[in-house]
Amino acid sequence: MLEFKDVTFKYLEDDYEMLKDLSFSVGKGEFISIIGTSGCGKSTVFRLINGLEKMQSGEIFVNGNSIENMKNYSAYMPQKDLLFPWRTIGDNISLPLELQKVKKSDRENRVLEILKEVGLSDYKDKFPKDLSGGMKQRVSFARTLLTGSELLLLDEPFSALDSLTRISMQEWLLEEWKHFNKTILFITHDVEEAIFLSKSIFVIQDRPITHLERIEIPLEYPRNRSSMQKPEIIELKESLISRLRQKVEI
Amino acid sequence: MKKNLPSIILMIVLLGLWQIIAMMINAHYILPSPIQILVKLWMLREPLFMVHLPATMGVTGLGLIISIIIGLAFAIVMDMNEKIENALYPIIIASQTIPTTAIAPLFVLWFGYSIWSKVLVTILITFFPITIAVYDGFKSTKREMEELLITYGASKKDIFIKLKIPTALPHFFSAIKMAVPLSIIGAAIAEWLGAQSGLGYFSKRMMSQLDGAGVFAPIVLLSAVAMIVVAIINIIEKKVITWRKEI
Repeated sequence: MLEFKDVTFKYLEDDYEMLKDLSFSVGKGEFISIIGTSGCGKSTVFRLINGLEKMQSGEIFVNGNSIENMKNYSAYMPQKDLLFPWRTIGDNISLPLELQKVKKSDRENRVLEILKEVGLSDYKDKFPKDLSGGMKQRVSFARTLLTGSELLLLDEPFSALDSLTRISMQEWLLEEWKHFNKTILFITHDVEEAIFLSKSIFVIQDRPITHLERIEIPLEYPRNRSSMQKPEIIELKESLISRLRQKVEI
Repeated sequence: MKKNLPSIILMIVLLGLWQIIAMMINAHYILPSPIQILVKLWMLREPLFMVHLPATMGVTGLGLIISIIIGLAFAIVMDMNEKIENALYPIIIASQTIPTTAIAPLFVLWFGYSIWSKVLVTILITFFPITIAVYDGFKSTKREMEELLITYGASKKDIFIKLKIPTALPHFFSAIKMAVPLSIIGAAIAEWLGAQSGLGYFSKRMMSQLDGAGVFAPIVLLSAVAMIVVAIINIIEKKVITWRKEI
């Protein structure tokens, strides 16, 4: 589904490379989390995938095609919901479809369908200010889904939520992933969140990023919270935390 | 009403103070009292409301409309192109350093006593806050929102229409609220310096007759008009922009 091939990247204002000859791949339908310390370059990987930054060398492929001249191959969901306050929830969700010049009647039908799916049918004509943090993130996710892209890039989408809402949102996301059968790349700081959600975890430990260590999560789907208490999961969690803490500068 | 109570009370206190001081000075050609001004306003109601107010409103309206067009055009082209921004910005700033009272007689020389000499003065004073406020509005667009639209495949035009215009709308309303009083001031100054009708011209004529209340009467009228127009804009703004605090 997604393949990085010898990608090297450096921000213009920096005198060091963020990524150097980085290669990795993600299979279709996988749920993969990327974890690493702050500033390690997790978001840079996303910016390269969605074309906001241009790599110095290497290539990125989605479904076997170079992203160079492709459009709408990935959908990005940022940390903040970034809902437009002047648009109703329905209009916010239909934004990607508007940009794709989808007919108004088709747009309305698809918005209604997706709102039903994310459990917000009654909120179509409300404004973002009328919604809670969790609801806004569900709207943001619905908007991401309506891009029609197979590859979803979720950049710490739940980090601004309180812990209880966050737990509910994680479980909700797994259901949505199963339902829509998308490929998800998920950035998080939270090791437990990464373990609970993902099939595999990519760990970033170096700078520049030269490789992503892939760790398989020994859990089957569907998952529940009790599976997080298994000894091997607790051990994995502790091991990942201690590895990441070595890189944390206070 | 409850919200406006403090300003109403303050205004009554100030007017009362003015009345007392004017009565103490007792020289209406230097400081007429508010009551004398109101009496004069009533006495001169016909020429003021039927001749001079429409003349000033004509200049103000035309000047304001052209200023909005010019202000928006400058803001848009400066936002679209950095080179144009670098070229225009210093000139726009420089235009505001020109003393209006010095340049207005020149406009009269060029355009005579026609409406255009006065409209030009109004534009010169009014377009600036519109340009700067709207331009700042465009620049205040959140980068993350712009990037999100880019990831959705938005073109520059899409970003402008779907993101920049709504973001700049509150700034536009603030600019208009600044521009309305300025356009009235501009029209009055222009009329003061060279006109055959208008409230500024009328005020000047009363000045030459040492009629203090006659000087103040058109000024009161101008202030009242400005307050009414700004209040109407406030109402429209509240209806149109419900998200101001959310940005």
